[in-house]
Amino acid sequence: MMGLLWFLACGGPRFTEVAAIAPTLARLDTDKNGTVTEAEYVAVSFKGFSFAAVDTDSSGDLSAAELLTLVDRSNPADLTYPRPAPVVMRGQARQGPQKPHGASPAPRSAPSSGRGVHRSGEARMAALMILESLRAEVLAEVPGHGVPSHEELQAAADSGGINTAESRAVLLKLEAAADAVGADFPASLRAEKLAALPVAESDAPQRAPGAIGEGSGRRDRRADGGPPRSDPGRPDRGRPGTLR
Amino acid sequence: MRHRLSFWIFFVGMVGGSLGCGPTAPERSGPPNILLVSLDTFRADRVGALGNPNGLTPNLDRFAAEAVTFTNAYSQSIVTGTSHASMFTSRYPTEVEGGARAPSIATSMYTLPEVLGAYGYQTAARVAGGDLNPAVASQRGFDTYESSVDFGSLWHTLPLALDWLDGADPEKPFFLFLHGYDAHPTYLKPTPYGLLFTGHTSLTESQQQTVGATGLVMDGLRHPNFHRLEFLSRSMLRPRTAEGRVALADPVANAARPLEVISQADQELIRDTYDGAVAYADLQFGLLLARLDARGRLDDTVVVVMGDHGEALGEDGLFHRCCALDDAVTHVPLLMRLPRGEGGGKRVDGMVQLIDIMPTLLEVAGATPPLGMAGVSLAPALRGEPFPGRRVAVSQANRMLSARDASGRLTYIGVQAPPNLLADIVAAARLPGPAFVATEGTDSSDQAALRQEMVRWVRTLSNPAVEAEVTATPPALLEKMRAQGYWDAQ
Repeated sequence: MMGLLWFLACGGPRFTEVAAIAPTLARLDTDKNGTVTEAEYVAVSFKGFSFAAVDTDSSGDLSAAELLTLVDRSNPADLTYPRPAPVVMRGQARQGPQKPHGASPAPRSAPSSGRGVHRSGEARMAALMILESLRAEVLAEVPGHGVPSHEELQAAADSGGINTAESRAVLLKLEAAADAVGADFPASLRAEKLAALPVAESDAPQRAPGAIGEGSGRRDRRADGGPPRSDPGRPDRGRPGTLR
Repeated sequence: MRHRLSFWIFFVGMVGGSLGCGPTAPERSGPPNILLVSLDTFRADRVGALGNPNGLTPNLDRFAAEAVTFTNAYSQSIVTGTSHASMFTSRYPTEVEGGARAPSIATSMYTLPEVLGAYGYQTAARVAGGDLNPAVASQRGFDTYESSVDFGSLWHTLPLALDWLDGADPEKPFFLFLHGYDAHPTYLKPTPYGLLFTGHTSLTESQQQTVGATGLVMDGLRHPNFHRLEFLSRSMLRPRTAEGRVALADPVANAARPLEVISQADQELIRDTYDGAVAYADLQFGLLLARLDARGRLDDTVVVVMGDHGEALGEDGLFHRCCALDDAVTHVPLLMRLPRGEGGGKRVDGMVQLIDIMPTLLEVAGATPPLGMAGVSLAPALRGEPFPGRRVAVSQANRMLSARDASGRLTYIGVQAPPNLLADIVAAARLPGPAFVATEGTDSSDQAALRQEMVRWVRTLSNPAVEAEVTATPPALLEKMRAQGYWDAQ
């Protein structure tokens, strides 16, 4: 009755700090028994953080006041409260199967090389960007003969990088065209500079259909505006559970 | 019966008076106080009151019950500094853009705090640095303008704001602007919000990097050299600087900074941590309301909360904000609560823009609006009068220009600022394919109508930004911006 009277007199519940954080507390209470236990708290806290530091009255449950204290003391620019532990943790909840000891290394063009680095796709993309950029600069000076076509650039990039024999041949053409029209050409890509580097092995035969560099404008666009669906035509660039 | 009713009125009045209904505001007649809260990088589709079913924003939803909620509000820019400069002048970005990240407000323009100050308001801004760092942002019209750590949170700025409020003159109205980057990258927030929606109890170093550098992710790949690239169009990139060209072209340097695959699971993790950041921002907003209420200042204050822009979370292969002007990055929350929540609980579906905030607040304050504002007052909607909204909302950023109407959106890519804007629109419209034109939910007749609207809009623009002095961004701040994934910070 008093609550009703207060409601009528004051126009309803006010904004309070406890009311502000109550929905978070309710979300943490995953078994919906009205209390937030250590297990429920630990499930969403950075690993290594102590429940005891938060449960200040040692009741075994987390109250709204305790959660408010935690939030008030936790600087979002420094995610180490309530104890100075590193935020970045080793190990992963969704970790996939580990490679057994002594397993042979992944094939050269496999997407799992390194920490999820798709070296082959990366090299193709970088090569295509460099070649297209240089071609555009040369053509900006004068649309002349001797400038490699888009198809030649594509084929060179598909060979697996900027330092393959195919790419070098295209670079040589671009260099000559740039010199002919006085266009800027990066010193690091000039023939004499590249000659000092070993020629990378072309991985064109290993290229999967739909790899990066094939139609750079290609996108999986959903009519509903949602995130793009996985493209079965694209190489697997890492799966859930892959250790990266 | 009449006696019984009188009894209840008397009894409730007595009990209410004796129990107390919380602190009451200092008695003051005249224009209301105004609190404008900017939640940086806040997508409209995350707000429960705007239809999100996941319970991310209980405090905003509670607030919406006493506020007018504009369900179709659009930001004019996806760059924080420009969006705020645009909002504070009620001008389109073209008219306030100076450098890439340092807007310029011409001396011929008036800012919202400037006008309110002329009407006797005390004005203060408490901002979280970054694009609103006083080194690059306009402070014109604010009596005091304080910034916390760069790219900080409401956690940093709220105490600053309350300190100022506690010392403000109770006899004069106040205009307080409060800002936080809570939903801005990096998304990870303190326990329990950081992992609340992820299903993880820890993150690997790689996951941490992924979540912390979403501005470098495009089409499932993290591009270490992203900030050195220039987007001529959605599908055409090139190095933007001589330094970038060398870095990209050098096979040795490039091999040391390879592209990295961001798996679908990690892209989902980005979205989940963003949701945690949204929930954290919502909590901070709830704490603001509670602390304002505890001071007895809520019910004599007009409270406006908005997002300065949204955030791409994988739409069309993009994250962060760089190369698209779609709803993901421009559809923002906008809610306005009048003192005592009068007329609250309403939804207004007409299309509105952030540049409409200034004329609205000036009308609420009883101030005469300056000439040249592009926004329209939303006060009729607050009063419950019919409000159809505008036909088209316009957004600009990063050489893109976009017009949105109820049916969909038309975006031109690669266009310049005036005086070439009109010619660029015509040129872009003639170019084939998605490289220069992006559409959402429109057919060709809609697109033609939107294009006409865009051309009409361009003809209304002035370009007073050229009169303004462009501020150079301090190198240290530039570094922080690049660390946040702003590839165009220069």
